[in-house]
Formats: sequence, C-alpha cells, structure tokens
Amino acid sequence: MNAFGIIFSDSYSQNSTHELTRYRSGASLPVGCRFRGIDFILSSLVNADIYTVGLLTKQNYASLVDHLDGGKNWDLDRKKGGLTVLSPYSRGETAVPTATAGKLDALRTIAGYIKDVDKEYVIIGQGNMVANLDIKDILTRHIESEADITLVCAEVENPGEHCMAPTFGEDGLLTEVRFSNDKGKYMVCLNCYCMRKDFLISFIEKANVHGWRDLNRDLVVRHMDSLHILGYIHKGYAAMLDTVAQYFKCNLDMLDADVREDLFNAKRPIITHIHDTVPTQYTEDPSICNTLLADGCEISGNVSDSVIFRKVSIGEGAVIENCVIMQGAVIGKNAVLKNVICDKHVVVSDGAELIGSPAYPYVLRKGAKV
Amino acid sequence: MSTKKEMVAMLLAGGQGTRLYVLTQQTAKPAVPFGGKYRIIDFPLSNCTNSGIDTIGVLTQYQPLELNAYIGNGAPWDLDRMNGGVHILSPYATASGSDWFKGTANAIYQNIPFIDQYDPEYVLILSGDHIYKMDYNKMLQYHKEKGADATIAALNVPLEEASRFGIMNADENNVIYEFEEKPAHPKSTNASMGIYIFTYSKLRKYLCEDEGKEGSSNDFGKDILPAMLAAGEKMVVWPFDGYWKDVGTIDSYWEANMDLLNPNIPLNLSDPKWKIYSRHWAIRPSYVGTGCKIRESMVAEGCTIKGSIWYSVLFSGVELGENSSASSAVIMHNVKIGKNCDIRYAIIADDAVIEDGAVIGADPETYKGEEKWGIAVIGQGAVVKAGQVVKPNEMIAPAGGEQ
Repeated sequence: MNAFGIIFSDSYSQNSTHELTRYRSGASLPVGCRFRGIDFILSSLVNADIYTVGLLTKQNYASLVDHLDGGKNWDLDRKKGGLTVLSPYSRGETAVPTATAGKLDALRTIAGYIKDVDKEYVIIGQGNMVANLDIKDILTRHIESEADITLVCAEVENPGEHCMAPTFGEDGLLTEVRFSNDKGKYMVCLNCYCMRKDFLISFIEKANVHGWRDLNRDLVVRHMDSLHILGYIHKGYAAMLDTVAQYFKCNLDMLDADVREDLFNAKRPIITHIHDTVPTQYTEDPSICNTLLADGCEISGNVSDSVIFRKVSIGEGAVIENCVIMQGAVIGKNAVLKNVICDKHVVVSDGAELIGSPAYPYVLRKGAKV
Repeated sequence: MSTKKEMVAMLLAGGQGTRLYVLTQQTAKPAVPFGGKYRIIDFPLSNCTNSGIDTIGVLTQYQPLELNAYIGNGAPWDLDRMNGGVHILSPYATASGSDWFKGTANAIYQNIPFIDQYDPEYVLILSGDHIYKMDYNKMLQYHKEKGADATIAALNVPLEEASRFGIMNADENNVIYEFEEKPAHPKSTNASMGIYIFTYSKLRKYLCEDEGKEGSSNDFGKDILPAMLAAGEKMVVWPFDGYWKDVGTIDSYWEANMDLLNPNIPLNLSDPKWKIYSRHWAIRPSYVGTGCKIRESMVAEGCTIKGSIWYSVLFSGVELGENSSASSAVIMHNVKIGKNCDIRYAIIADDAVIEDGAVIGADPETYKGEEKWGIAVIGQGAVVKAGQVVKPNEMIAPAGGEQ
C-alpha cells in the first residue's frame, strides 16, 4: 500500500508508567502468553502490506529492540523501507526529551525520516494497544472520505486514564471530545491516526512555530472545527495497556473464545518474535480449567482462569486462580496464587500464599523471589 | 572473501520412507512432523548448527515440495549465511542427459561441484531419518586424532538386535577390519548410524571410481565403504552413547514420540545449550477449557482442548471437542476432532478431520478383534466420518490419495 507506519513505543502520558512499565516500554509489555504489545499494531501494518515502519522509542527500549530483532519475523528486514528504530537521541540537534515532551515533539525529531519516506499516507499507532486492526480498510475509507485525519476508535471497557473519548456526527465527522477517567464501556480513540504524509509534515512545522506538543490536544481538539476529522470505528476487540488493571483485564479477556477469534484470526495473524521452545508438558496429575498456555511450560499443579506465558513451571499441588504468570516463573509446590500478576522470572517458594483482589491484582515485579 | 570451509555437511533427504506408508505418501520422510512442533530433519540441521557447521547441502528427490518450502532460506536453524548456509540440491539435467540420484553415493557424486566450491578438508554425510542429538565437531576431532580417512558413528546395540543393522567389526583401537550388512551371526555390536566423516580428497576419489564401475549400486554402505576398506584406507568407529532412534517404521515413529513423554529417556529437547530449532509460526496460545483432563502429555501452541488427553503428543492447532479423549496418540498440526470421539494408540496426520463420535484404534490390552493389533494411522487431510470406526492397525489414506 502507498503508506507507511509510525509507532510510538510509549503513550507519552505522565500517568502511563506503572509497576510493569517501570523498566520496559509499553510496547514491550508481554501480553497474551507469547506476544508483546507492539506485535498488534506492527502485525496490523504488515497485514495491510505496509512494509515501511518507523518506531519512535522513548526510554527503556532495550527489550523492545531485542524483541524486534531487525523486524525479521514480520518480514520487515527489507532493503527498501523495512523497520527503522528512531531513537530520540539519534540526531545531534535534538534535545533530550523531557518528561513533559509530547508526541508532537517526538514527531518533530524524526521529520527528516518522514520526509524521506516515499509514501503518500501515514498510519500513526501506539505500541501498547491490543487490537487486530484492518488497516487496509482504514486507509481505503480515509482516502475515499477525503478527510484530513482519520481517528481510529473502538468501544473499550474501562479504558483507563485520560483517554480521548470522541463523539462523531451522522456524517462520521468529529463533533465533540472529552478526556475521560470513567468506568464502563464507551468509545475511545486508540491513539491511532491516518493522514496524508504532506499534511503531517506541514502540521509538524506549524506545531513547532506555535510550540504545540500534544497530538490529541493540539492536532485533534484544537482543530476540531477547522479540519475534517473522521472517525473509523474498529468493531473488534480493543484494549490499551496504560494501567495495571487494564493490563490484567486484557490478558484475562483472552480467555473468551470470541476475543481470541477476533484478535488471532487466521486472515490477519498477529506475528511475534519466534522462540524455539518445546511444547508444554503436563505431568501425572495436573488440573487445568479455562486457561491459556504458551509453549515450554511444565504443569503439575492446578490452574484455572489464568494466562500462562512461556517456560513457566507450576509445582505439584500449587493453586493458580485468575492469574497472569509471565515467562520463566517458577511456582513452588502447594503455593497458592489468586489474582496475581507475576512479572518475568518470578520465583514463588513452596507453600507460599499470595492473594490479590480481582480489581486490584497483586503484582510481583520482575525477578522477585517470594 | 574466502569461501573455504573446513567441513561441509551433505544431508541425504531424498528417501521415500516407504515403511511409513500413508505418512510419507505426499511428503518426504525428513519432512514428517515429530514431537509436537518439529520435523525429523530439524534434528540433523540443529545438530549441524549447534556443532558449528554452517554449510549444508540437502539432497532431495522424492516429493520435495514440502521439504523445500520448510527449509526455505535456512533462517530457523541460523543457516541463512552469505558464505555457506543451507542449500537444496535436487537432481538436475546436464548437456549429456539427466539423471535421478541412483544411490546415496551417486547423489553425492552428482554434487561434487557444490562441495568443490567450498574446498573442504572433510565432508560429513548425514541422513534425515533419525532422532538424536550429536556433536559432529567431537566426531571430527576424533577423525583428526585418529588420522582416519573415514569415521563412522556407531551405536552399541543389544546383540540380539545386531542382525538388523550394518555391523562394523573393529580392533581395540576402533580401526575397522570388516563390514557385515545385517549379519545372521553378528561378531560385534557396533551398529552403523549412517553418519560418516570422510577426508574429502579420499571420498572424491572413491566416488569418481565407483561411478565408473559397472553393476555398482552407487551406495555408501554397499559400495564406497567396502571399496575403501579393501584398498586399505584407515576407517575407524566413533562410539556414540546418547539417545538415537530410527523413525523409519510406524511403530518406531510412534515410540519415538512417546519417548518424549518419558522423563527417564535421555532426549532433552529443552536444553538451552543444544536447542532443536524448527520453522514455526506465531500462533495463538493453547486454550484448555473446563472439565478436561490432561495427563503426561505434550501440547504445542494453538490448540483448543475441551476433551481429555492421556500420554499423547499434540502438535499446534489441534482442536479436541467435548467428551472426546485421546490416549497414547500422536496428533499432528491442525487436526480437528469433534465431540465424543475415542482415540487410542493412533497417529493422525496434519489437517485430518475426525467427526463426532468416531472411534480410532484400541488399547492393546483390551483389544478383542480378530485381526492383528497395531497403531491406527489416519493420513494427511483425511476425513473420518461421524461414528466411523477405524480399527487398530488400519490406515486411512490421505485426502487426494496417490498423486
């Protein structure tokens, strides 16, 4: 397609750092047993035949670069185009981004890259969004409508903090915006935008003159009346991983067959970094109920309503209920975990007991030993 | 850039594997799936890459499409190299005519120009029929230490089984003085594993001589090795003592899969120092529903399990419906099993569809039928109709049948 992608590795909102993103970017959050946040937007782009993608990193992006491995698994290791990691420090004249820097600042630092790409349209997305977007359809609708900007939106349950909740008129154009912390299921912008490249370049220059920094406030809200801003409603599942609660919910949502069918449909597969792990082994007497499991696990205990990542070992007699257990965790014999998120390589000793609340899960940080 | 390589591996992957019957009707034996997410050829290819051998010629002939597509550019085994890497070598036509590979030695003979490009000191000959982990580099060190012209990996087999193998009789220094092909009264228990290292200059000479010989079957075991021994070349045995399994028959293939479920069998696929690599795709995680039992089994990603599994190996994308059970079964990629099915001692190949209420195979202890008991086999893409009974030892041909 005559388009390229720009992905933000983080959400650039001040509240977006939580226990799980302290040492990693939002885009490298492990999600759904074997995926990382970025896999969703990146695969959506590739599935729309978009093979030129710039990734804007902010901080803590070592694990992300490792995961992407030059874009190999997405066929993004191309001579022309392909995946380009755009570090904010990559240009001498670029100031080190401050905590308050917004997405517009970040785009300004890569204006050179944007100008050089030989494509007419750009899709801007975010690495901590979980949705399988039909970007071909988004782009086609955008071009047909002759809108200046298309905002990709979806109905999301408990979408988190300060998300942009737009209202569209009958003609599909944006009429109203509020920034919401409300619970419940309502329409929010997935921080995914489609526009002409030329439009983006001229807007970046204009923003620089005015000192505008924020994509949502300064591009969308400020120009709601002067620009044609179209809404594209993604009908499938969508979640943003901005808070621990959303992260927890998104993982457990995947226990629903409809959500899995939508996210992992065979027509637009979600691609990820391939590891050579053996299939999961089950021993003599495990009990598993309503659970998702990756490869490389050894399961001897009792697991229900949980999401188990790669290479997790669960000892005999252990009870795991409503948990998200990331890669490499070792859960000892007869340990009890309920409503717990275990970050990578957590060790829980035999007989230990940890109980969180379904609304506020207990988080064991990376490498923690209990 | 120099293209010289110390050792080049040649992997004989052209065999049809007729004793695997329906499993190899549409695919070459090395491409047969194994162990939940692998194919047989992953073992020699991974052994090469783990042994530091980065130049491999894969000789294909029979039903090569799936194998060629699987190997691709070799990236899964880290064999996508600018210098070296994995190359598919198929029979080709020349100005003087075209030939299929007549025998294992002829296959290598026809590809002498490929080997010559890398000007190697040594050539490693492998086959794509076996499940094992081996450090070929150790074997090469041994070959060099012994100053051998040919080194043959040998497995110490029980004496009563020795007459099924090619047996090598060697002196106390492991120097071979006699070959016996499937001897009725074996003198030793050194069975050839079909893994050879040759000093290339010697191999090249004997391959060329053998090609000109009338009546030769152009086979390593029958022609090249005896000719070298007769001419007084130094041939040694390299004893190997790890897990090794020929998966050339339905029974041995099924057993090798079951071995993966036995913690006492020394084949560790998850050893980070000696990984077995394979080409696989990013598929969704496996889902285990409510009311299922899974015991002593291996389940790859992308499966949806609503029934029960005992002592079985499930490849990726398998669907097992409510109230269905699989025990002592090998169920390959994307097999769809409906509700209320009963599967015992069976191999079900890729993409087969087992409709509701089908019964496949039986436990040997409880089988009362008149025909001989055996593993039931369902071919690739075959459909077993609702309520159909597939008896033990029965085979259902793949969809599309013989091509």
